[in-house]
This record gives sequence, C-alpha cells and structure tokens, in this order.
Amino acid sequence: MFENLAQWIKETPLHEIFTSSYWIFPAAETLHFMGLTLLVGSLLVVDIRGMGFLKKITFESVHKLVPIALFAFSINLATGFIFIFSDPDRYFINIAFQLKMFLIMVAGINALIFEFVVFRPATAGMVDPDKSYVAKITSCLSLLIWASVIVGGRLIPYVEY
Amino acid sequence: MNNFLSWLEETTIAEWVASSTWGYAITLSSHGVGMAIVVGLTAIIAIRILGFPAVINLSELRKLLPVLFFGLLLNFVSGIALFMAAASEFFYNIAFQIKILMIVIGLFLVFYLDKSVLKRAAAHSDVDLVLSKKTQIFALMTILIWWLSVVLSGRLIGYVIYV
Repeated sequence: MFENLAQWIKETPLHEIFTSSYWIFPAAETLHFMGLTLLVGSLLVVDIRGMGFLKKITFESVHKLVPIALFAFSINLATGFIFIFSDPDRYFINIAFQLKMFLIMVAGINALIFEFVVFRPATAGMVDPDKSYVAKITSCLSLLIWASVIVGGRLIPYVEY
Repeated sequence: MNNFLSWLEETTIAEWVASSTWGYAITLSSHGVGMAIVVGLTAIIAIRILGFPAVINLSELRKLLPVLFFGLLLNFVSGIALFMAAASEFFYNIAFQIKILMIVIGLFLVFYLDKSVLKRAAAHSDVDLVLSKKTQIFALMTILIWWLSVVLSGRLIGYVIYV
C-alpha cells in the first residue's frame, strides 16, 4: 500500500516542484521548527493552566491561545506535506514517522476531549474546570504527547536502515 | 585551539554522543524539546506584549519563567554535549557561530523584557501596565532573533557544514 502511495506521489507535479530546488527542503524544515515552537509555546500555557496553575488566567482567556496553536499546527501540516511529497519513500515505511503520526492523532483526540468534555461545558457553566480531573489529565497528557511527537520527529533519520 | 577541540571530541561524553547507538538521538531530541520550550514560551510572552490576547495577565505568564529556564538548562547541557561530539567542525561553522551570537542576544532581550515589562506587571498585579512602543519593538525583535536567527541557523548548520 505504502509503495503505491509513494509511487503516486512521485508522479505528481508537487513532487517535481518540491524537489526542484535544493533549498526548499531546508526552508520547509526551518518553518516546521518555527511552527513547532509556536505550537508547544501556546500549548504550554494552555495545558499548565489546565493542570490547575496560573489561576488568575481564566479558562476562557487562556483558550484564546488555541487559535495560535491551530495556526502553528497548520504550518507544520503544510510543511510536513512538503517533506512527504519531496521524499515519499523515506517516510511511510519509517517506524519513527509512523509513531509520530499516531501520536499526533492521539494528541488531536485528547484535545477534542478537553474541548468538548471540559471547555465547552465550563463556558456553559455546567462544569467547574478547576475541579475537573479530565482537565488535569488531558492537559498533562497533551504536554507529554507533544514532547514525544518532537522526539519521534527527531528520531526519523536514525531509524532509517 | 585545534588541540583543545580534538581533545573535546575524545572525551567520554563526546564519544557517547558520537558513537553510541542512542547517544546522538537522545541528545538531539532533548535539544528539540528544550528549543520548543524556550522559543515557544518566549514567543507567547512576546506576542502578549504586542497585545494578544489582552485578557491574559502578564504577571501570570511571568510565573512560567522557571519552565523557560528549565528549557534553557536542557539546551545548554544537550548543546554542549552535541558541540563536543564534533567540536572542530562546529567551531568553524559559520551558521553555528551566528547561532551562538544570536542566542546571547536573544537571552539579553528576554532579560530586558522581564525587567521592563514582566517584573512591573507582577509588582502592580497588571494594573495600569503601559506597554510602550519601545518594549513592543523589543518584543518583536526577540521573536525575530529566536526564530529567524537561532532556529534558521540551527537548521542550516548541517547544510553549510563544509563552507
């Protein structure tokens, strides 16, 4: 399956464009790193608040950082596509890449649980987020998962053989 | 100097990073996580000084400085280990030299933002906090230094290694 997908990618015009210059890959990597710092930075504040610290910031206030996190994630999604389209044979079969994609999916589900089980009911006055164990657990998990995503990404070149 | 650099490369730490199965991967991963913490938190604080989101108290953000310092420590330790592993290459690498210079400038800027904004916010519980144009320009410079200089040059070290 992965071979067919990789083969299909290599026949797309995007593959040709992304591999047409030596500098596109490092430029995308740099953007990917900037995106990752912004993503982790905003989530650090949101999740540390979610864990019960910085109580002077309300949940509604800290939630205003979520669009920054989503913006950063879209940068990394886009630059991630550039990596995959530049060198498809490299990624799909790579165990660190597979692990990283799985972790991102788990992080997404975890964030949705926070949003729909804690944040929205809290805004509606139905839940006290500072008394919610779900808030604390999902926030803590979020930081651990994203740290693992970084590690997974860093490991991609080391498990290539 | 070259003798010293070669000596660094022969230390136990350098050999662990350069030659063991997981040494380089573990050190580089720590460096990545530390970078995200340092650059990420600074970016959020700087963006807040620029005005967004105004509802977040800078005095509360200041409480995250220990987390930022933890990230710095992580990167200082892992950075030295990574440097030792290929000291004679890094030392003469122009991207690496720019990166170190920019880290020093970036740290001064973080220190300045704390002194001129965060400390005052904490002392007055965010009341009457005036964010002057000057501090906002410094906040913007801090983001640019961390991103455009540190992250960019860090990435480019591998690409200009033979320049």
